Amino acid sequence: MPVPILKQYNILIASVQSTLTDTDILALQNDLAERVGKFRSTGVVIDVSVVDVLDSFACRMLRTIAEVIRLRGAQAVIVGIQPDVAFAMVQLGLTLDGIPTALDLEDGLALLNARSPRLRADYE
Amino acid sequence: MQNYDLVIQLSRKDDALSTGKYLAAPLNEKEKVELQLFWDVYGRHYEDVIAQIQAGVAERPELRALFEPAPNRPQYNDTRQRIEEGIGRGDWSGYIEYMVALGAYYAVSNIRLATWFGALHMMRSIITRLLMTAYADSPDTLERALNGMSKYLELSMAAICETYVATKEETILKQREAILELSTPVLPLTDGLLIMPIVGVVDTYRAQQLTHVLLYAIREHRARIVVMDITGVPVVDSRVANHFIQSVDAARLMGAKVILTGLSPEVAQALVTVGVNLETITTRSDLQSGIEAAYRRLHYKIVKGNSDAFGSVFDDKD
Repeated sequence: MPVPILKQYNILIASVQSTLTDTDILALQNDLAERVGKFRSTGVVIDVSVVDVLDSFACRMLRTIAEVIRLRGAQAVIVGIQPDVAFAMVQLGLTLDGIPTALDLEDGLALLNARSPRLRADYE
Repeated sequence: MQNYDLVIQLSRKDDALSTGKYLAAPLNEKEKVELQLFWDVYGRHYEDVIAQIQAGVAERPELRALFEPAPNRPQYNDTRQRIEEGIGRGDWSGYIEYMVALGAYYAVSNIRLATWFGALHMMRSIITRLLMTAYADSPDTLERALNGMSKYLELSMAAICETYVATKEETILKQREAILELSTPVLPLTDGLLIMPIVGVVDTYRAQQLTHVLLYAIREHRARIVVMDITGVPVVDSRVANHFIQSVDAARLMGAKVILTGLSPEVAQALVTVGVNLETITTRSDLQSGIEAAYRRLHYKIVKGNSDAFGSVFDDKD
């Protein structure tokens, strides 16, 4: 099942709806890389709050996607990692160093908001 | 908490009053004959052997604890009959029951297994001498009788040691449960700020439980910052430090920052000396500075008013 991507002003919200297959993740990477340019987005929120299993490939890809988005000129933030998922990731040594994380969509948007003045101007 | 539920294995005393559990394989015909050869001699001199062991133990103070009368010491007057049932009819349950009771008694009375092995050695040498006299004319029979003795002693050892270890394990599990019940409180201080004081020894198991509590508390209270105070942790070595690093990393994945406070001067020096990489962790010397740092990050400000506005500090009003 492909991941729906919503556009909200300058922000893209990718809301993962089910456990990610490897194809879904690769498709997500393509879609986001393309749309960040198309919509001139400044921020991307990837919401994984309904995901209760993240394998090592998915973790690595989240990292890659965040990096790709940064290269496309936007800031990515990963939100909604569940306690058990966080615990498992740390045990596997996948700590997503350097990639912003937030508790949920609300906090993620607030984080992007605080980091991007252009965005703040649009909201106000 | 279902992932961390303790699997409590209560003592196996009841489920296994049979030889099956204490023997690597069922006794075969050869072994039964060997046991019989051994018992033919031991049984004949049974009272004598026991008397000799008790006399020997009386001379060695370090073994005395084994036979000291105690209210909870299992007392069986028909041991001989129980052994006979095992060797003659293959029903070892009576004898094993005795050994299991003894093993449990040694464990709760803190009698060391080494002590028991001391007495066992004494018994072995007494019986060996008896067997050598009885089967002096036939080395072949002697060897088989000695094998029988080994089998018999192995069975006793297995039953006693298994029970001894199981009883000790039970104590450890009970203590671990007690620590979990003391557990780790998570205290919301202000919006987005949690305090987590940790008291007591942190081992791998407790570290996992701590992380678990921490992560769920972050979600429940929507915490941005957690101040984790480890003043009450007696030993912080590199392993414990790595546990904390893991907790901090996991919290970060959920969008919360952890400030670690209460690292003592000794601990700080020790960690640096052994080269633990604590670069990713924010630390403050004490809880107070930790909370101050958290407030700064959350843009809180504590303002001291004057008595005109707030009344005297000596007022009892809330």
